[in-house]
Amino acid sequence: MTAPHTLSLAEAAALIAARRLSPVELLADCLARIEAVEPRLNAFIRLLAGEAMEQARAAEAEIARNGPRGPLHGIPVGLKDIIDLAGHPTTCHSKLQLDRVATEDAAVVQRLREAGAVFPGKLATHEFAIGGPCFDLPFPPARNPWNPAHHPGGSSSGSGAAVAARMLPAALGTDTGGSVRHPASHCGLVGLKPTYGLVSRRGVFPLAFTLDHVGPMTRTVRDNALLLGAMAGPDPLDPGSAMRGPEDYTRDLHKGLKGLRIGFVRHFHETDTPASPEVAAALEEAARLLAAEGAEVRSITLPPLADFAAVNRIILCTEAAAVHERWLRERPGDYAQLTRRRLLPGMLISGTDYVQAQRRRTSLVAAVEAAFREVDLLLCASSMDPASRIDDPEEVERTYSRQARTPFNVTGHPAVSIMCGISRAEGLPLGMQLVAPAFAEALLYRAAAAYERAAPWRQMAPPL
Amino acid sequence: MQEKDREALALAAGLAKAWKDHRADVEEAIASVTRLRAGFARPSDPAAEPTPSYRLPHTATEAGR
Repeated sequence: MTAPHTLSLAEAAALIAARRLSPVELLADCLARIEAVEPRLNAFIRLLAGEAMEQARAAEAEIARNGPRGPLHGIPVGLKDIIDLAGHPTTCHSKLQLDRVATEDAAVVQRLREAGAVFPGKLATHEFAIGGPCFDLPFPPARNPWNPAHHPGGSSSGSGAAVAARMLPAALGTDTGGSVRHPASHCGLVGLKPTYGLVSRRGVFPLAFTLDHVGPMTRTVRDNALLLGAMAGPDPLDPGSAMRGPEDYTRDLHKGLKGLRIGFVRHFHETDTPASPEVAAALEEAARLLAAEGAEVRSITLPPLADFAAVNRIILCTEAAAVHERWLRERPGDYAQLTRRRLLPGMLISGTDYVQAQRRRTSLVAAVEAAFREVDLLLCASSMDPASRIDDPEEVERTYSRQARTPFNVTGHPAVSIMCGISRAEGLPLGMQLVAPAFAEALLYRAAAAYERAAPWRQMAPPL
Repeated sequence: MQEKDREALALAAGLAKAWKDHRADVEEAIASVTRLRAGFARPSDPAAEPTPSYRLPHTATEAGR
């Protein structure tokens, strides 16, 4: 049989349902893989092997008696370490949070626990989900499994590294300015930022209240849809909850692209923030493939990327400063330098600027809504460059902000990053985004699945 | 902006410790805010609402029924 750690979530779930694989075997093989490759990748902040094995044994026994609760039963899922797991510290990868032990599961963890998932560990992040790879923190930064000399993207960096390296079939990330889709792009994964409010944020350390999303990170589109189905749902205790029930997000995966109109936001990567030639070529090739599969692809214009980026930054920094105000005043030296530099502007933005950004946000949302009256989906760049070397802070600084993910944190529309190429020079994955109207995640997955079937990237794996 | 003005801004924001120990980071933050402020078009309509608009919480609206 194929080594269990290499199975997709859906493949593992099918074998578990058929009693051909036990959750204990699956977890044991994942733990062996973690032991083999983790020293090169630093994806984990805390490995919870013993506790996870107890969960896997309980799942094995229950499945033997009653069959699986659903596709997540017995599946290992990693948690970015800003997400609370009862009884364990939520460190936020920070010296400031080393001793903060969660007393309850985050709402999304509660849902996954009810679905029977197993939790093998807490995963690396950028400190407080902001900044970048830092070497002046209590834990080292995660590295890219495709080439450990390069960063994996962030801030859900450990989630991206762990799933791409076949240590885990799936992980949760969070996304405030692109932090699920960034590592998904650089690690060759499928990473979804759901519609704002679809997944509860309760029990997740906040970065920016009106921009924060929790999202699934997996190796396939079907896995992502299955995981979202277990994560989504109303939460009366999350004031931002959309109070919508989960759906079967896999229902349209087979339908293909025929009849769908896709608006290609070319100006994002052609003129607003010119992409590297490899990224630009990969996006054009993806558009060609989507058209060949039956979609009608046309260019479409949104407001300038710089407007989205500035609005995102002002809102993010201001809301984050409200969270971090006391520490920034009393313990600024306890942050990594990069985190401090990212957070400090929020202490200096005026109330007027914050409200002006929120007012501009209204018109940006309206512009994207108007686009969805002309097309069913949007196609655009994710990162404009392949991942830079992790030990080159100038290049990290230059390339991190060259991206087109923040628009959909500002507007709240669902956006998925999916692999669309590989850089010849470094052998690193390239990613693109598909974006859908609010709560149209099933449509988004339909298009992403069709692309995934038609493109060769799904078969590729990091050379670890 | 003169250094004394930047210092006044930092102190007004409660960043005395950061100004003392990490002055370059505060200086960079001040420059960054200046860039961000100019980075997007202000709405011209005086009645343009922010997103999200203020709404009473569900519990308050339900209590009034």
